[in-house]
Amino acid sequence: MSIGFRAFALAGTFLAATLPAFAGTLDEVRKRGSLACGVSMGLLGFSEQKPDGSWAGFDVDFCRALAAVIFNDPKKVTFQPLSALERFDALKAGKIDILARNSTWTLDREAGLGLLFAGVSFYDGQGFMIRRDNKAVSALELNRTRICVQAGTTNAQGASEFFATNSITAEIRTYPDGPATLKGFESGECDAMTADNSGLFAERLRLARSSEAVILPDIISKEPLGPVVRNDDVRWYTLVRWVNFALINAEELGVTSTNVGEAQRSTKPDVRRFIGVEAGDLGPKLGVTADWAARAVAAVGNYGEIYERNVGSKSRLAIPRGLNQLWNEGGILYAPPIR
Amino acid sequence: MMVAAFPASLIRRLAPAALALLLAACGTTIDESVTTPRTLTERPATIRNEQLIGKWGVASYREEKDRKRVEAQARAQCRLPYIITKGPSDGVMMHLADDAKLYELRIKGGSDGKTYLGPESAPGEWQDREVISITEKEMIMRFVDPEVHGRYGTFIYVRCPG
Amino acid sequence: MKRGQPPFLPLATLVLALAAGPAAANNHRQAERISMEIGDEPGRVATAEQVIEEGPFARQLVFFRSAEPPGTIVVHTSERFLYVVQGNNRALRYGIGVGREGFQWSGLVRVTRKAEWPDWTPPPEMIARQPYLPRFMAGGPGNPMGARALYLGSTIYRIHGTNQPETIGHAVSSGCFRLANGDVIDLFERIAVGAKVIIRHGASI
Repeated sequence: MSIGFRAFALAGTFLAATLPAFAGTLDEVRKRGSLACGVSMGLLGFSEQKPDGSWAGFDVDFCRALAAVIFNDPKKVTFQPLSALERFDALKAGKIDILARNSTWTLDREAGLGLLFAGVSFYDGQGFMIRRDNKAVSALELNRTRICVQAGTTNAQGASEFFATNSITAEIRTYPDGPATLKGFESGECDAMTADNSGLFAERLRLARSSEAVILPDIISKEPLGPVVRNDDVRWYTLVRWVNFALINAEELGVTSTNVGEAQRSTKPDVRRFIGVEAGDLGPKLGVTADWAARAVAAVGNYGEIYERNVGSKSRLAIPRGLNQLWNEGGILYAPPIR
Repeated sequence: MMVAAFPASLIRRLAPAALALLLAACGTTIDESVTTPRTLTERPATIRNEQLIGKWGVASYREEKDRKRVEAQARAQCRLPYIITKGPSDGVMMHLADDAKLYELRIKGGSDGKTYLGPESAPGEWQDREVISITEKEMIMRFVDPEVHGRYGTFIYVRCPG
Repeated sequence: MKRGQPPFLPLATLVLALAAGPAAANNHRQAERISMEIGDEPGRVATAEQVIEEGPFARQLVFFRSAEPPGTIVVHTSERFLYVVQGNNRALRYGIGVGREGFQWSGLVRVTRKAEWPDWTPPPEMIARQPYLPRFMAGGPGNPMGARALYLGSTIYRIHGTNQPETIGHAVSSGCFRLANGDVIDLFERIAVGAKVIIRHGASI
């Protein structure tokens, strides 16, 4: 109750500060000459700052795609690393145009904070890591085991609810932070470790022998992550939303960073509309050029390319596509058609 | 047809050979029957080019138990024969391992009493084949390089009719 | 080609691919292709037990929505993965090497035969490219077919092992799907003759 009230009060404060004299985010971004993109302060595969100061990652690439759509130049982005505490305030205060920082889409963040999630770019959720010699193939086989989890996270609560629902007796052992939790698992104090799936893959890399740990395919909670914008600019929201859809549609259509030029000559209507050689008024309706989607793909590739490069099979994390596979290839990614 | 006197792949082939020698020096076991000392001197060969020239069905095996079966397979491969022709000089036109170019290869008698087939060099060189047996109808060869021999196995050539 | 029909070797495309050589495609892909242009040469001898233990191509259970019955194989060539449907939204995933561009076929076939340490008869077009190959090679550790083979329909295609596990994740073989020997042995034990095999590629523009 008190949390909800505080969020409301907070939202009210910022609403007053940001609402007046608003010209439209797209125009402001154009005038400024670069997109202000909020990212996490460093999260393997999602947003990482390299020694030369440049940024890379799954979340980073979304902002680059958006910059490519607006400027035809994926470099026209200013990245602002933000902590979990300050991320929404920064967005509300107009310090950033978009937050691409593994944030979970919830009702309270939209209705309570006055934000809009432009879609889901990554379906995360709570999973389990076990030792390879355990032989379990499902989280339902974790009866009479000890589970390591970080204290104070939703994961501790999630695990106990999952075990109760499935009549599993497991001992949940809590640790003060991530490293301690992993150490508990590695030292054998626990049979399994639970955290959000993307986090488990990152943690596994820190094990002395990562090949001896296995991450189960079970996902027991919903953590849909996606780009966030303020709720006071529907035009901007619609553009961001369709950039996300465009990247997913590109993969489904087979449009890649390497064949996007060739796609101009495609005879498939879906591809021609995507590229903008047909139905060329769609881009302008979003406030951008007819080749908007092609620009995004040329800059960072389609969804599959972005995924595999940053967090998938071409990255150290090597997270299987799982839920984040296209709807017709075994996952649940489903973008409305561009027409 | 171009005849390369000095196969380009020679350098590539020398590296594993040198490595194999090093390993041998460290006491690693290498199949003794395949490893050949490189100090052989040449003696007159007992085989003539003419015995090699013609169309052959070619198959390979690794284990003795497969030999009879593979012999029959080699005979069946006359649909896609391996053709050995006379070279411009004193040899026959054949391939080396892993190389699609034809080279003129020469029969070389070795001071170890074995017969070798390979480029112009001392008998028993790493690119050579050892001719294990030869009759009018069939010949059996293997590559001298143990690494190459390990991959290809022992070759049976069965002369195709006609 | 219609779905469900026995697929034929797309000879025309195959010869085209050979003729075109590395001239086609973009630079990035081209580089990868040249460096991996090692074909089905008898390669380094892999031990029978070799499995891929680490990284994306390690055998693992993954989330996989599918309406296909458990025991169905789904090969996704552009992903370089082979899935064995397990039911309950999961599949066992193996890393694979796949055919070069132009050698690729998609559709539904069935496993018609299984063989241990299969013999190898290189197809004629491979003999044309690599004339030094024996026309027949008895099964064994140095054989490019590896430890096991699952024959697909009445085609020349098969799912097989490899003596070159480092080629897993790349496009090198002639239309075949190759797994590390230890992984193909594992797959061989799980799949029955008659199992459905669905071969898919990414969409093409």
